[in-house]
Amino acid sequence: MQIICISRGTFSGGKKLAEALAEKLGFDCLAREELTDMATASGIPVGKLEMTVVRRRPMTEAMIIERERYKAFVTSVLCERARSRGLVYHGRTGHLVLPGVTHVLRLRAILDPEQRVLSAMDRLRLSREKAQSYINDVDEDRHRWVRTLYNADWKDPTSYDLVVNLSHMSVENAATALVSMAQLPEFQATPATKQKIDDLLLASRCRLALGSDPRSRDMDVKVRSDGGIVSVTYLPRHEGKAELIPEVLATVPDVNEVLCTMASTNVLWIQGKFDPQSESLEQIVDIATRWNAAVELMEIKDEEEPASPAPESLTPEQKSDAGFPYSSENGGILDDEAFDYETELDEGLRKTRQRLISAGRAGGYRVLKGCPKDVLSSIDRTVDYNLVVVGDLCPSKGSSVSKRRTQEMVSYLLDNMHVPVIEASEMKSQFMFGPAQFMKLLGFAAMVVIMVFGVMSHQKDVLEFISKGTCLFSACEEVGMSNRILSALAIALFVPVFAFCYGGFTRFIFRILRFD
Amino acid sequence: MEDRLQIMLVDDEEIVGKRLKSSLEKEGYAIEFFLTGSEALKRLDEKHFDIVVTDIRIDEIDGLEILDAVMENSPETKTIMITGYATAEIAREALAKGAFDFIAKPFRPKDLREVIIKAARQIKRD
Repeated sequence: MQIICISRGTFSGGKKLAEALAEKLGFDCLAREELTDMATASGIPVGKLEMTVVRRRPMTEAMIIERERYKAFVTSVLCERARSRGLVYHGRTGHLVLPGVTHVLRLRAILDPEQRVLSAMDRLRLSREKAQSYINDVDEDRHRWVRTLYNADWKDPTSYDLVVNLSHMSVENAATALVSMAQLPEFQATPATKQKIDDLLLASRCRLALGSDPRSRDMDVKVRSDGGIVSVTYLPRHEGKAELIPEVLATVPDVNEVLCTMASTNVLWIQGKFDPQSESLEQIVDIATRWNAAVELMEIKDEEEPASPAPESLTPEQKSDAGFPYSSENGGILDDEAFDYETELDEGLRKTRQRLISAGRAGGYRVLKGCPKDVLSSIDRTVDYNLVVVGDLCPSKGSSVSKRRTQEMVSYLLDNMHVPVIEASEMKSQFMFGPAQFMKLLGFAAMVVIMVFGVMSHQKDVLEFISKGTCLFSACEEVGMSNRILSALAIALFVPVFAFCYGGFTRFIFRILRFD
Repeated sequence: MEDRLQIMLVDDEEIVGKRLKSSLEKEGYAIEFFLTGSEALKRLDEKHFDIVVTDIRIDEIDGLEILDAVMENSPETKTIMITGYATAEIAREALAKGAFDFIAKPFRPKDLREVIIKAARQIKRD
């Protein structure tokens, strides 16, 4: 039940090391290439994912779902193999696939760059220049792949238990040394790590089951398992399909109970035209990241503009075509008419969505036109929005019309939705911390210090003033004001002012601490 | 001499040839489809093709070997690799060896047509 994962660069000797180590230990040896072939054969378009990384293209929502399926596939295969007997896996991300399984021996194999170039020249029959370029490109691709799948740095040595430099050591000797290391107690399975593997296996099987069922295939879900109790978290826009989850997972063995939870926070961003370069987008991403929220986009077209097709308006056939249906019936050649609704969106909305997808904050979108009443009726009232942000509406009609329409929308939604509704321009003052907020913080802090210092340094006088009604100022006696009334008035004025200053001070402190 | 763009298509799946051939012929290209690498290599010795579109994983002689043969005998021919089993390593190897482009399956014929148009433009420039 031992697992050894060897991360390797191209032509770095990792494959030979893995094979030698597996042979010495009597373990199975599994290469990433075998795993990706198995995943592709099972219908996951790994090649598409790879090419997205190679071509430095942003991940679309459909690709994100395929990425999660692939990760689940890899986890399930590694866990299954490791449950039956020891396993040596060599690939790019083996050290990251089994989080929390502490007995995995995580190794990285490296080799002198010159030797790698010579190997590439020999095996691929390339010139030195091309071999060098090939190795650099593949290393960069692998770096990006690890970043895309696990948001981790592939070359970070702290991710590994040992980095093996094969430049001055034969593969055989390195494998012999590693056999001893593999026998250390830290790398032996315990009941706790076995349970963790069972949990990861069950969660990955459930994720694959949801990804294989055409009804739930396009759902963006997170699956966890704890001793047979499976928790599935889905985005609010998939609420309509939530009831399918227990039905689909009923077919997965070892599932005792299914708990379905909708992601708790959601931000709705309404805008006339989305600009991926706008400051508002970065502010929304920042807020959503802090709140762990999904951001749903709603683009409001001018009356004369044609509305782009939104996913809600597509037929089920069109929606299924937007995925990656590879089958023996089509040989991987799709119909030209296959409708890719993401490319039909206007560029601003598409790029804004891509930015949210890359930040892991995409919560769906819709495009419509109409008045605030139409907008309200199109909002899913069952979704628990935590914030509605309204950006400039009707930007093509000039700033005054745009401002008026935006304010009308804010006002209407405030009256009819029981959630905070703000203009996009207010996000900075409401949720961000910049130089202006810093000056306010200093102002509030100074007021609080002055008031506290004033009270604390005149405690006796203040107490006498409050308890005995002693007048602190002779002028009061001259005008004949009652001391009791005066002290009550002073307290009534002082307490709210102090509360306001102290509240302002703590509000900005919490904002610095990103605790909204 | 025929002025239509001469394209060789190699894939071990009949359905791929059927779907791509009809789509490309509609655009006015002259297409010859082969199910095996050996048939394709034999034909390459007999005739010059402007563009070769080949799957990477085919029996006996694979797409990379076809690419090698094309680069050796007819370097001006543009080779486009297609595969359902794409990896960064294979794509980089193909590109390092002189492939014009690389397309991962599944794809739409439209995607291939766009790459062919680019290749045709480069052929004209060359």
